[in-house]
Amino acid sequence: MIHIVAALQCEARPLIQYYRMKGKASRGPFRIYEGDELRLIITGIGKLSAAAATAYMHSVYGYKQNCAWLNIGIAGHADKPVGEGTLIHKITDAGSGKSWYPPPLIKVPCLTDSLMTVDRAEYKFSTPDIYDMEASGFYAAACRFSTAEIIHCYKVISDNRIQPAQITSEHIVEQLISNNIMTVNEIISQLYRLHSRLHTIDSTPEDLERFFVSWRFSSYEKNHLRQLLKRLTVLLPDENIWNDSLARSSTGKEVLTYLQRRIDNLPVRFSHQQND
Amino acid sequence: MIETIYIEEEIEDHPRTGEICRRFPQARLIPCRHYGEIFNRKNQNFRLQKVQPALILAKKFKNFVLDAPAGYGIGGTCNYYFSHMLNCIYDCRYCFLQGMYRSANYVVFVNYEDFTDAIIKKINDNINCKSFFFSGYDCDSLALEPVTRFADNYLPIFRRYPDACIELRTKSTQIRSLLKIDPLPNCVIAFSFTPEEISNALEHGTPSIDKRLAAMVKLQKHGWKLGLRFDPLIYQDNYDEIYERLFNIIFSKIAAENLHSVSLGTLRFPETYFQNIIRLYPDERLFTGSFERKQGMRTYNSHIEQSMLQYCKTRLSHYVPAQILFPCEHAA
Repeated sequence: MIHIVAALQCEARPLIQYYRMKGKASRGPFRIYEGDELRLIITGIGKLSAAAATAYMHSVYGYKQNCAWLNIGIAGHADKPVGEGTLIHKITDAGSGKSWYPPPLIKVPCLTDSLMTVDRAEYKFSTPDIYDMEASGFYAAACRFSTAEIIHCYKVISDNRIQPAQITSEHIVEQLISNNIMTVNEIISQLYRLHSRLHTIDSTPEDLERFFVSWRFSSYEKNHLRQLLKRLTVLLPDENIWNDSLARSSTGKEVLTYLQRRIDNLPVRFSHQQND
Repeated sequence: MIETIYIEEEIEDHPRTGEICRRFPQARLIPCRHYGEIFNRKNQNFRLQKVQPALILAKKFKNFVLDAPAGYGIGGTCNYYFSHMLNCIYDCRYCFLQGMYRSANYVVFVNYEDFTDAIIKKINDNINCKSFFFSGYDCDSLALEPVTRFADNYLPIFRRYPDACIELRTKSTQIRSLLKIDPLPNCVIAFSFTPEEISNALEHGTPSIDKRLAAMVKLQKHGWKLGLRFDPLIYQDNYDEIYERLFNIIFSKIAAENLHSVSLGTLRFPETYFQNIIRLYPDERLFTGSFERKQGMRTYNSHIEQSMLQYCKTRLSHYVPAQILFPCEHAA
């Protein structure tokens, strides 16, 4: 699942149309749209709003860890041409001076650059960074819910020293995002790929609930069970774990011992494996 | 190879930073205040990053030379290690680094002069004891040699201090810089091996056994002292056959009299690293089988551990004298 975070309705509109997303019916503090494997939230302007909306999105969809996150929006720069799209490789919060470094593992047909998140609209562009008002809030919040490799920001330049922000209309913003939709699409595809790879590593075993219903486990044992099942599922993908021997276990502890023994008894012999 | 280089602001103008960056003209250069901002952050996935690690150029401020762990030694009295680099360009599934670090990025500390000063101080402080310095603990000593020029920069110290010894531990074939200079009698170039089946399955991105042996043969001809490292020994049900085959291959090419030392130890991880690695690689067969916890470490069960060590020690003692055979004490 990919969560898209945009500050303004006009930034989101081209994405909502392109991905045919529908507004979520339930009322809440932020407007949410849903599509196939995509959700989009409109945060309003500013890093606090971005952080709050990111956290809200996380809670609305069941506090699921390791969803991919993408912040899309417009930004300013001293002299980059209006319309240029950039993937962000460093985010600095101007207020706190704190920086984050989204790992540039995705390869997209656009430049990457540093970004400064400011509290008020920037007109001087005193550093060579891209300037926005949301990324640091978004990134700091999203990092609490996902691994950094699948959290990214993509910004389209909407203003510079020659074309200041005051003359950027909603219609122009919409046009700027629309013109970069193919790059956005490529970023989303690559985020999907990374997310799927992570999902195979990190997924919760399907049978877990059935175990919880059948036996009692302490919190520690539940974690241990999750680990053992995950390993058995990948080590013996075609084997049915639910057999008579397992059924004979009368306590959670016995279940864990049985599963551990299954792993320990696997013959250890290496053949050449594919490196990922 | 390297697409992204993070550079600590403090060493932005260091000549070595410039040299390294010039080797990757296409790389994006990203300034940072401290390497820990990238390397030590929570919420990173080592496995995802390992696909395309970035390079981080940094300055180290303290703890340049550390005491080697107990049992880590090849005949020296005072054993130390130092790490000019964190992480390895290879991807060996049994490596403890993947459980120790949150990030798979490579950190290179460019202030070599501070390391060499600390090494010299350590040598002078321990004038009455034979000091042995290990360089391949947190990285492969030579794998990134064309970029770091580690050997070029560190070996001259040991030419000046012949009573101190250094081990370069590697799986790489980056030996060009060593073939250009006169060999040092107090330097051991130690190559790590596992049997071919295990190497193919677990040592991703490393040179083949044949290529490592070819590099060893060149170094042998040039007069360098060599070492063999079978650490970790990896278990599989026919381990005796595959290790026997490996030893035969190695000793058909390497003259035992040119060997400084042969060391061996079984697979072992601190428990927390073991758990981290299993979380990253739940699908890895290496971590199945009979492991047990001993004093905060995860190791093969005692029977497997002792059988493998004993078998390999016995077989190796047919090729080399007992004086240069060093089983890792922790595992023994």
